[in-house]
Amino acid sequence: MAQSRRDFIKKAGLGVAAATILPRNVLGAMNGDKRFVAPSDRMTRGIIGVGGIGMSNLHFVSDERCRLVAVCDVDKNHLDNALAKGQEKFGEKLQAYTDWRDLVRDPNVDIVHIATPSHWHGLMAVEAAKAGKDIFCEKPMTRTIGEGQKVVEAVHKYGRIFRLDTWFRFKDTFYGLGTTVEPLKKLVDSGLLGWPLTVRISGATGFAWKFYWTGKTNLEPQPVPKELDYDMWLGPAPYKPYHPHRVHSSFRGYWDYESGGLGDMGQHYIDPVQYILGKDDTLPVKVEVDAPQQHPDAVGIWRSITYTYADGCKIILEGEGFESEGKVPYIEGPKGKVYKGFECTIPNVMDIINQLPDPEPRNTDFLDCVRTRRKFALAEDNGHHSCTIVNIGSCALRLGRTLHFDPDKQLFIGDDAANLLVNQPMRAPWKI
Amino acid sequence: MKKIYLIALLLVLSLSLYAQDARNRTVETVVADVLAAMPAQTADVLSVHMADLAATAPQSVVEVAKLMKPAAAGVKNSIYEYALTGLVNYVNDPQHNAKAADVLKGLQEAAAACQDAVNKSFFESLQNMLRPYQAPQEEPSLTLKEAKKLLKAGSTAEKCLAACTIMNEQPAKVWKTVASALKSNDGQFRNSVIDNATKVVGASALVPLFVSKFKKLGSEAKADVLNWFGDNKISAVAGLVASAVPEGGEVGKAAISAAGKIGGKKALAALLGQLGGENAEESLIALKSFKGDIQDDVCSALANELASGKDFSTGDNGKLLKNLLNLVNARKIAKAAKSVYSMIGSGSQYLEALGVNSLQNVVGSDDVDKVASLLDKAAPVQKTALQKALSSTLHTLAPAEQYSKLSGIMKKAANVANFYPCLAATGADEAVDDLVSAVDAGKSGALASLMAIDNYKAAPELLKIAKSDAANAVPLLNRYISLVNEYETSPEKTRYSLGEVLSLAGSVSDAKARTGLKKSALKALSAVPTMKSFLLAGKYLDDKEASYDAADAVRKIAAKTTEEINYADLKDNLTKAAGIYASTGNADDAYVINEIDKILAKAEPSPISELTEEEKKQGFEMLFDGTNLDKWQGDLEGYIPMNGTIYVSANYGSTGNLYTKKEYRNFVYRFEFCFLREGVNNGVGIRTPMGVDAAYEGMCECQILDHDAPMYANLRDYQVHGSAYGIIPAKRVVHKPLGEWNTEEIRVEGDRIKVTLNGEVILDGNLRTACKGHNVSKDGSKENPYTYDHKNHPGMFNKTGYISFCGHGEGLKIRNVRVLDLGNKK
Repeated sequence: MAQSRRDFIKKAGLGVAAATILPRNVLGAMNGDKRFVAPSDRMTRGIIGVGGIGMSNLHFVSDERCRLVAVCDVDKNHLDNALAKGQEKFGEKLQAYTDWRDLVRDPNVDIVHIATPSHWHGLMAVEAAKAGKDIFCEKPMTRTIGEGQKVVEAVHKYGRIFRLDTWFRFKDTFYGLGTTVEPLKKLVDSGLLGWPLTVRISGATGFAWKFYWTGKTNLEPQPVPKELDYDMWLGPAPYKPYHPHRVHSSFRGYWDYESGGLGDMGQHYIDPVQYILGKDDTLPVKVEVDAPQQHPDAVGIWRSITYTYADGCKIILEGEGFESEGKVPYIEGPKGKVYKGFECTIPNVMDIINQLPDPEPRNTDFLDCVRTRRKFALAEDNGHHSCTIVNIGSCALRLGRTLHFDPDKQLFIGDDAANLLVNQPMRAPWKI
Repeated sequence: MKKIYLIALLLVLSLSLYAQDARNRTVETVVADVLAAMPAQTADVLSVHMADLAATAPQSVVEVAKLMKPAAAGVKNSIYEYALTGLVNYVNDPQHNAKAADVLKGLQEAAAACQDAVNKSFFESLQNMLRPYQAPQEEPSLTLKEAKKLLKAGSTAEKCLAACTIMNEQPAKVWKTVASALKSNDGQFRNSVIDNATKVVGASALVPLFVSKFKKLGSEAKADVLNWFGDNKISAVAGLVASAVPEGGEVGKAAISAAGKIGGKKALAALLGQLGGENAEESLIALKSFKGDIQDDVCSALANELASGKDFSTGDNGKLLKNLLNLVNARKIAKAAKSVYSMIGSGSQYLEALGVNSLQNVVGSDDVDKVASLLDKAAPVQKTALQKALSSTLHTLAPAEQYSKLSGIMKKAANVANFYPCLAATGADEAVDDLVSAVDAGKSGALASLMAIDNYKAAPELLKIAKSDAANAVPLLNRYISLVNEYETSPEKTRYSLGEVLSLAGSVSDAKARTGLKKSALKALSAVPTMKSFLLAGKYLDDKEASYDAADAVRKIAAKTTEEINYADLKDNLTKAAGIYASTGNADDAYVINEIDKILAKAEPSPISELTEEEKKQGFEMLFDGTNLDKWQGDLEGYIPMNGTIYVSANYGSTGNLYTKKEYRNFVYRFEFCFLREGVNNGVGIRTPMGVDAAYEGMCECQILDHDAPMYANLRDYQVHGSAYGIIPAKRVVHKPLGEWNTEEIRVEGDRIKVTLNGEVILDGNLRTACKGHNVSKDGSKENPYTYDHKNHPGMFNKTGYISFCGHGEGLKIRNVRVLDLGNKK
């Protein structure tokens, strides 16, 4: 690269925070900050949200290529833990923030890692893009379809590299399925199964829906703990009285922040299906739900959610405890079926698959994408699409009825109530 | 009464007519009916109730809202929240929106009257749901003037935004903007402009610009453009891309990736040419995914390389050859077989090794004998590859032919052991038999193949060997688990098999292997949702090596099973499991604890049976009060406490019996029983020793039998319920229906036995009198004319013995078992 990393950092910092237009080495010297002593070709990263996945050994890392330099949380205990862990693991003091906007504007941060509950994802990603940061965002990408559209737009407009953090479309055998996506992709592309295809994501095909991520109703308001900035935790979400079950490790059970097991696992499971079916540029046109009535605040269980694409392909999600009986195929087409562990009704399928070309190579090294400015294998566009499928499902669950969807406009057809869930208002002063 | 009437009347008069529905219910009644159904379990139920609520809006809304209290301990607003949200969603459905305005009116009234901030905001948010959808307003974008300014002086992100704005507003400027961005050293800006330009004018409109500028671009921009060619699959530039392939560094890499995506003859040739070069790795990836038939090109490249006469074994000389073979292997290029065989026969050790390795990927159905003969005389290092090659040729044959062909070859083979893995690969039943005999005969290598064979018939053999072969026990048992997992369809057999593994695991000395075995067995067990597997997994909750897996298993089984689990076991095991989850401190586990709490909240404690006041006075002793079988011995697996009852699953035979701990001579024995299915068979053994057939070796067996089942229409009279089996028939009466409890009393004094069922005496007789004192035949023969069933009953005159239940299959429940010991009189 002709352009040095320092140049690029300086440029990134320029318009965002006029007061801090200083070369990194000067800044470092001024603060006695050791962060700038290391060779500067390493990229830097800041994590927003260090109470859950942000603290995992997968993400709380510094290595040759990218250093963790800053952390942010609205819970003082989380922040203290992260600082202690930084000290212990890397022997250095991480920059600590309690307001994520300060981390996003920190000129010393190249990559913003969003590891908060999902009601913040859209807003933070857009602001990070505006601030010239590249973005590593945990799943689900956004809580509403509208927020996802804004993220896509901002990432494009501001020339950012975005990675959504689920990976089964390009590596690992996902959960209980017992096979990587690659042979499935080759099999589907070969046409041996016929068309249209039905994909069943169910306990019977090796998936767990984490049904325990349900909310509680009739919560009795509790005093907010001293260490928590609850207002900042809620951010754009509606104000509701504090209860410990609403926050931290159990927030997924409330529609204000996420959508239970569907939100937690849905994008993990559905995203590879979009890839396998070759539908990254489109979306289903219909969603049907079979579920008990959902409470307006607390996420409940569901029996099944069925998505149908315009060409007749289907994705069927079967809730925990409501799985099909017997041996159930993961993918079923008019000419063949494939079960978990890549067991297939087509004889000698592996011999056939092996002779086919591999799927087109994809860019699966995020830091390399940041360096070469190429799209990551799971970026804003396809990430927004698979997340939209999750969100279409949660809209249908909340309304308890079949919805029809227009993949181009990304709005529901003939159902204003559903469309109100596409673009949900944010609590002032937050605005995306 | 008058007052209620008045209110109803007022409602009817003051409000519109639909305040009452077709069934003439008042609004309050409608509301109460709806609330009772919340939350609705299905969409249809919801619709019916919401239609009622909508019909009575706005009053219904106001009524529901009035019931809501400020959140506090014990306040349960959720059913009102279900009702009002359900109503709003219902009238928001275009098919039902006739009453939307009334619902809105009701919500407005409710909000106005509400004093509680939280509930008020709830009503307001519901009002919001009733407004028609309007797309959110777009933020004003930059003006062109601002954009131009930013393009000069902004940060990178701002420059990207500025260029994007300019291109969107003035598409004619796209080419100029791209051309100038291509000159920029800022890779972020360059790529962002290219990206957004593509969105505005489409890829094909930009191709001429890129082609004309390409030669003069800096290397980074060149790489960007090449990547763009590839991502957009611009086939028109295949030649340009191919010519850039030999370039080194990032440009070459980008060209290779683009060539792979664009495809075509030129690209293929260029990529094959790189397999020996600097970017060989990237080229190989591109070729593995190269679309279309590449066989001929690869084969001729391979033949040419082999004909080059290089000494492949020195330095980097073999790189191109190796990568061509990698490609042959990855894409199973069968046409390369000729070259591969030529390498094997070349006499060069280097080429031979490479050839043998590739053979498995190029062989077809005609190669069986050829490969077999190579394998028979294979050098040790070549064995594995040749075994794979033979297996893959065999797989081209029909399943039935594979074994017969191979066994024919093996009969003539010099090194039979070389063929064991291929034998395993056939998966045939006969192959299991052959491998078992080979293992028994101590042939080396046979055991590994027996473990590899994918046939459930091998499972019992593996278990048998594991029991005697301590050195191999761990891999044998692991393989056993995986076979059971894959093939066993009966939950009970799976549980039994996993139980065997768990008990054998205990004697494995290596801690890591032992722990691993237990963990895999428990994981498999967690998918067997039966009561017995729950109890089995529960035994490992205190085992530090496997407690987390045991916790997972009991939780999953408890959540899934449709079988009844004894409350005390359920509570003990799940409470222990919750403690184990709590100790991990991770978020998912915290939720699992919630799930456990839910399961426990639904379970009911077992009822406990007690002696009546009269029984207490008489001196009865409780033998089973519902909680435990402490006063019993024998088959404690087949008879287990189950929510206040004894659940019987014991099978027929001398081991399937449950005995009192004490022996009795004269006694009154009382119990209740019920049949869970038709035709249940069991019996009460009287004065019986342990481990024998009470009907003959005991004083007698007092039959327990659902003789009402149609299958027993032709039952012999001495077999009906209550009979002293084979000695004195009882009166045949009808039992209570399946699932209902019958009461029984058996009174034994001296030789006399009296059986009372549901208050009716069905047997009262003296055994000694019945057989005229001849419990066994006088002449020692098996035929005894004196007994009713003409059989010998040697135990009939036992002075004392245990009381027992004599198992004969599942389906019986017993409770409230009491005994009055009458001592040794008579």
